[in-house]
Amino acid sequence: MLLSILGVALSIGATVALLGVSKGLVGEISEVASGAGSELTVVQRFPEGLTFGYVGTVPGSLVSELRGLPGIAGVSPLLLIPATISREVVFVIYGVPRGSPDLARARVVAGRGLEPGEVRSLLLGQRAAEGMGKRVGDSLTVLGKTLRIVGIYRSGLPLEDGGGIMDLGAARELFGVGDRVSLIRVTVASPRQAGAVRRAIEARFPGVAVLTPDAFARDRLNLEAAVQAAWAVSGIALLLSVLTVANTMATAVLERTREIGILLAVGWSRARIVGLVLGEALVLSAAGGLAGIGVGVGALRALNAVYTLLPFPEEVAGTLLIRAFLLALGVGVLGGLLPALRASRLDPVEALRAL
Amino acid sequence: MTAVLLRRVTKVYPARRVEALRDVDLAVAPGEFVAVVGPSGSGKSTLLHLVGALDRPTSGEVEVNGVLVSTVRRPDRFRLTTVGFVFQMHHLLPVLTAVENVELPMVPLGMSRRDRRARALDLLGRVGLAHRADHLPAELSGGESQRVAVARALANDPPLILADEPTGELDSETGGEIVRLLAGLRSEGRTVLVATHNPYVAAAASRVITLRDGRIVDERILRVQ
Repeated sequence: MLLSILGVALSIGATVALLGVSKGLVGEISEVASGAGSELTVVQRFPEGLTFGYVGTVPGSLVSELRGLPGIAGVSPLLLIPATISREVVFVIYGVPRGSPDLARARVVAGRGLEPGEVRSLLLGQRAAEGMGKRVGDSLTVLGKTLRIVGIYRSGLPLEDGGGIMDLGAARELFGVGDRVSLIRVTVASPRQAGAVRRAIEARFPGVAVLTPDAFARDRLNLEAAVQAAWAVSGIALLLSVLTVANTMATAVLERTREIGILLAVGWSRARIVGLVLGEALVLSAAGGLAGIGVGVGALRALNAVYTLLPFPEEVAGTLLIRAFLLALGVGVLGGLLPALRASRLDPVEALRAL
Repeated sequence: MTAVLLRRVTKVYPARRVEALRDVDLAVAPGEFVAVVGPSGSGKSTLLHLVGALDRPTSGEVEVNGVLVSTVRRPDRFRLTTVGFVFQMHHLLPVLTAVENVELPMVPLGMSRRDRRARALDLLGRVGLAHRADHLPAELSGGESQRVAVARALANDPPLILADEPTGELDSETGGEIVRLLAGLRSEGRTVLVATHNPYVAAAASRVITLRDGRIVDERILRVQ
């Protein structure tokens, strides 16, 4: 019994943790891509197919051209400079223009903000600062360029807080990317026009693709593959827990053959016996599910606390927790069904003779 | 109308190659207390199982209160409303208290918890065990457990009580209490069919039927109703 609860708890815990990480990452990237709530993300158009995380670039001049289009309320470019600092750490520098929504979201908690004309100044995310042991005034070498940390910020997004922010112009100049940016966030005047604006942009500028922030994370960065991989691993764990529950319930039915015989003899229907065994399997899997949600959330919090340089989410989406609990109940139904049917088909006379 | 009617009932267990009952004819009137005696393996329990719809005859017909039991579509429903079983080993659920055991047959009828409890306590009172209602079977003596089983058999007020060696595990004194309880049910108009080895149980019956090798070999009327 306890072993079954543990089995369900571990599989649900693994599901919550794996999907929490992969879906959390999709959510974080989607939020970074949406800036402060923009509906559309404009990126370089590629032929159909996998890009393996390569975002591409679009000309910076597109920013002012987009501003002139009808139905668009705001345009904000973002330059992503992924820089490997060590084998374990991928550090992203976000190049943003002055007045960008990213800067509004990033609250400076130490030092000061960026000032005009500074080329080698960097605002460092709090998680990155803690992970690397950096403070205001220290320097950090990224892609061979030495930057001075003028301030530490916190935005609340582990992905952003694990990176750094530079002025867009300064980053372009320092890293030699010319006039290009990685993506442009577009806020539409009315969300209902999003589809029309998207088609208008793609018609006018054939070299770009317009995605929702979520599609950007899933499709352009191929994180959907990570989500699917998480589901696959969770699926195997869940299947094992179904077998554990089935084994426990089959043993329980075997041990209680005589009791089931008594219930049949006093007039309980076979359907009621199915309900009795299934109900027990459900209680067992629900207990495992609740424990598993605790395990999963705890594991994510621990990962988040230990690996400050990796963008592990701080919290798990409520919908994922509800789905995980429903999955646990599903494990109970699947695991309990065969033993329940077997119990209901017992011959009462034979069952009463069982020891 | 007869309470129990068996017409040429035969029961064969092919797996065990046993012919447990052979061409048995039997009619029991409402309110009769019939003892079925005979050596082990003579078919006493099989007869009770067929009458109680726990099993089906290989051939022949079993009728209880006008219902053809041998082909009844919902034997569970039939057992629930028409028959109360008392077994040799009281067969109480060990994890439930005495009163909860008595409530068990009422559960499928959809009675409210409060009504179930009230009726179960009333029945325990009738078998003299109201004070033991909250005890688990492990805390009850053999005689007390069997009295709880009698109370459970009466839960849904069935017209027919089937008791299979109800005193088999009891000493003569406690066995006597159970016999008095069962005999008392007649006065309530219930029909009682008891399979037994115990001559005292048989002596309390209105009619004794002797089975041997699956056939009725003797029938004695002890009391005229």
